[in-house]
Amino acid sequence: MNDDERRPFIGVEPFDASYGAAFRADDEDEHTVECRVVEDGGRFRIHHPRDAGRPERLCFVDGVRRTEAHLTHTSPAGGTTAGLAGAWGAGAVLIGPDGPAAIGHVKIGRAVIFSGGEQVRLRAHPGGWRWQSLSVESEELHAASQHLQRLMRDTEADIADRLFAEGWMVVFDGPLHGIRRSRTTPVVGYVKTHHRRTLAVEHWQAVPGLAVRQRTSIFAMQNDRYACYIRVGDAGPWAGPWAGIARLEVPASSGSDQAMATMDRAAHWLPAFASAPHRDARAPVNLAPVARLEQHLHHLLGDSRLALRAVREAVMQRNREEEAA
Amino acid sequence: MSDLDGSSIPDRIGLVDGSHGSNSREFQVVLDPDASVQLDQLIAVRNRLPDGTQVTHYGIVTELRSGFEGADLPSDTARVVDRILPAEHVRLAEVRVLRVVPEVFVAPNAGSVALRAVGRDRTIALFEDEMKRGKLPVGLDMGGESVYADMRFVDGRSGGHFSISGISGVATKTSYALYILYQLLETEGGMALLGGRAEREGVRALVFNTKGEDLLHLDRPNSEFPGRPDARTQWRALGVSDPGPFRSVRLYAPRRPGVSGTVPGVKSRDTGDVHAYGWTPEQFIRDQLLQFCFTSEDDRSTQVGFIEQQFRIQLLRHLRRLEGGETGAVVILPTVPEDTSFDPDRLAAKEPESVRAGAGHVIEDFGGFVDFTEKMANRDDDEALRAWFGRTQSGTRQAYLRRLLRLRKHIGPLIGCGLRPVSSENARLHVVDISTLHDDAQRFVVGALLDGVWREKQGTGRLPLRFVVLDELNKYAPAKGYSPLRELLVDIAERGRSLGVLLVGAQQAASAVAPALPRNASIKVAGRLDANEADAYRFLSSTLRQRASRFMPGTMVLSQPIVPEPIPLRFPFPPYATNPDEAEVDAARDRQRTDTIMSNLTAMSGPKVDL
Repeated sequence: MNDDERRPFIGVEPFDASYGAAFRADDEDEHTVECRVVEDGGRFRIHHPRDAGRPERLCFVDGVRRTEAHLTHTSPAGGTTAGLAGAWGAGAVLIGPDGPAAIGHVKIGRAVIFSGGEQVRLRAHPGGWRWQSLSVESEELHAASQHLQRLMRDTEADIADRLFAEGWMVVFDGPLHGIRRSRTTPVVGYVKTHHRRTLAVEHWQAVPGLAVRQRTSIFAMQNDRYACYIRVGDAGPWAGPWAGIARLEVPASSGSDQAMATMDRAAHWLPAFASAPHRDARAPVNLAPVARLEQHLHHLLGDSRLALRAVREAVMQRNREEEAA
Repeated sequence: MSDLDGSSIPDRIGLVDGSHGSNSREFQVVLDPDASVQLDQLIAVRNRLPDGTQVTHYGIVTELRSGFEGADLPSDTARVVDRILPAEHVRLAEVRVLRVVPEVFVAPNAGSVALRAVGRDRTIALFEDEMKRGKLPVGLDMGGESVYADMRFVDGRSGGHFSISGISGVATKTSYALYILYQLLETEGGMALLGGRAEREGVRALVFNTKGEDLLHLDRPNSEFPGRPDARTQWRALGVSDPGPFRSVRLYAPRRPGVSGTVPGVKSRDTGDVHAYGWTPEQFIRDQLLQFCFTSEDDRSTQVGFIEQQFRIQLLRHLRRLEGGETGAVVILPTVPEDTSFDPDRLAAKEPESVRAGAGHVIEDFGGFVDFTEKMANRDDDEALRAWFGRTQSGTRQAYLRRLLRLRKHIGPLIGCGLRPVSSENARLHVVDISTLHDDAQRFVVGALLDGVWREKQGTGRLPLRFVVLDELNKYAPAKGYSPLRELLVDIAERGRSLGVLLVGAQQAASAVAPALPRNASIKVAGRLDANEADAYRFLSSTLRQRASRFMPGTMVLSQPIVPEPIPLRFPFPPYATNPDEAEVDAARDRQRTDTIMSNLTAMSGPKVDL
């Protein structure tokens, strides 16, 4: 490149996986709050609900995302902004009244996202790769990554919306606050991680005492959700007390009676979908249909090496075109 | 990429698999959910090459697979069935390429639409368009459509001989050989393939019956045939609108044992329908049939063969006809002029002079011949011994004699005055029963008859054709060793196609037969194979070999030179009887016979007297 005639220049670096793993872009806003128990007269109890059968139309919704390349944009003035090329996908596992469980409603997106309001267009690559051009105002290094997370969450929510409308019982992998609108149709948020305490200490300590197909009393979370804990599966004698525990969330708008009925039923049928330890390191809480859906979505995102190559080629072409201009 | 959204194309069955690369020899098809495809389905895949050439790959489905995509572990299957784990049921068809048109060696593009090859595509897939000089319907494919063999590889122009292998009882080897003969000799389409009028008239088939009296009923309708309407449909698909029994047939059986006359030894047929066969002493000597007396395993490694050769020539040199008889009895002179030739063929061609009985040793049957041999062997005259037995030790001569004595019982009934050999006149199909004969005698008959056919054809050229159906080839031409019969069969296998002598050989295991026979057969057919033996069938792919070990009776696989992959096929139930139980009772004939007996009885009882 000729130093005398500076042009905007884009650089590509492979995404560092270890960096990405350490960086939590997850928008789970868990911090220690002591939620109010809204059932059993405010006392925290363990329930043994009766088996009311599996919903006839049941689906699991989940998404994946991947940063495929880190990008830098160097302006003619020499200022540098960070960005990324990434992909996301979301879909559902549909278990209808008959036929096998099937993956459907899959959506895959791919974008170049720059921070600092910078917008960079890349030409579609002949191998089938194409990128939306997006930008975030924030100068923050992680803003682009958070935006990618939001894109995935929005896609998941769209799919869930559509399935609610069609009358499916939706299990949403993750906390429900990602779903913004209120629901009348049953929807269950399924939370696997318990980094923060949500209950008073004595109640919190009672949760691991749950057996499979039992649930705790329902408590209110941030006024918009009801939640309870269940044990999805026996994690084995080697596991810690919280292994196998999941939190279920339902929208508060459905009313506490509806919430209790939904939780009672779910405590019974969800353990059937728990994964086996030989299949999944996150067993039993990582549900088998969700694990398979994630695997499928990752597959549909394409080969990450090819994705990186495509970004490089598209960026090189863009730099050439800028130079020629 | 080809037309990916061709889901509405009729005959579409799926797409060429792109996850598992295709190559110019084989590819996989991911089947559409509603596609119903079984093994041996013919497939066509059309592609446009980068240079614009339109290429069609034709292939045959050799294996089908099914699985859950997304199930990584066997235990996932239950999860998928219980609807815990989502997975897609995928079905794959493995396809072997039969042909690429035009002949460009490329792999079919991943994602191309795979079609059922029907109509014109099917014709091209099976090379029928290349069979410009006649095609013989050799069976029906699994879909019930006719499969053809190129006639050039049946009639000897480019190749010849059938080799049929398979386990006894279930492989239906003989039935298939008869099916081929029926197509050739009894159908209009088949006859048209045999050449001009003279060639059609002159075609002959020689069939050896080795089991029961099964094949002595081929000229009778099969009583079970009308009960199988599907068989008639199948025959029609094979171009035969009116299937029935063989019409031009002559049956032969050895004469009844222990009887000196010429009554054939048959139980399931009227003796008037069957001709007794055998050879006169003169024919025995002049056709040099003595060589076919020594074909068993232990005759090949000793000097017995050498004595036989010496003795055979001396017999020819000393041969005279017995005066006043047309029965074939001969006289062996004690001495002949010094200048008499030693060339057996020249001697055999010469008509012998007639002499009186007193001029030498009279031979009227095989017993007489053995007696003569014994007399010669026990002579004290060294010179005569040297002339007749060569410079062999007395022990060797005794061994030779012992063998001949043993044969007296087995071959005896086949040699005698007044007997007539199997002729090739008057009928197209000649069935010779050897089932009642001892192994030695069976080999003698096969050798003698084949030698006759072979000698006759040496001078006449390829047409008219001679077909020889011989089961249990391993008995006549074993994989190892030496015998005149084995050498004759190897010679026929190697040169027979150009001389129009075409062998339809059958054996349980190809490995037990002289390698030249299966090697020279253009058309190779296998029925149910022994799983241990399957290694010997290199012409079959490994999957087809394994499949052949599970074939049901009536299913065969046929390999022919121009089609690179063997094609599994079936052939229809026969309209002719292939054993006595199937033979339809001929009511009219029975009535006629009863009437004859009754009228004879009436005649014997004398005139009726009115009182």
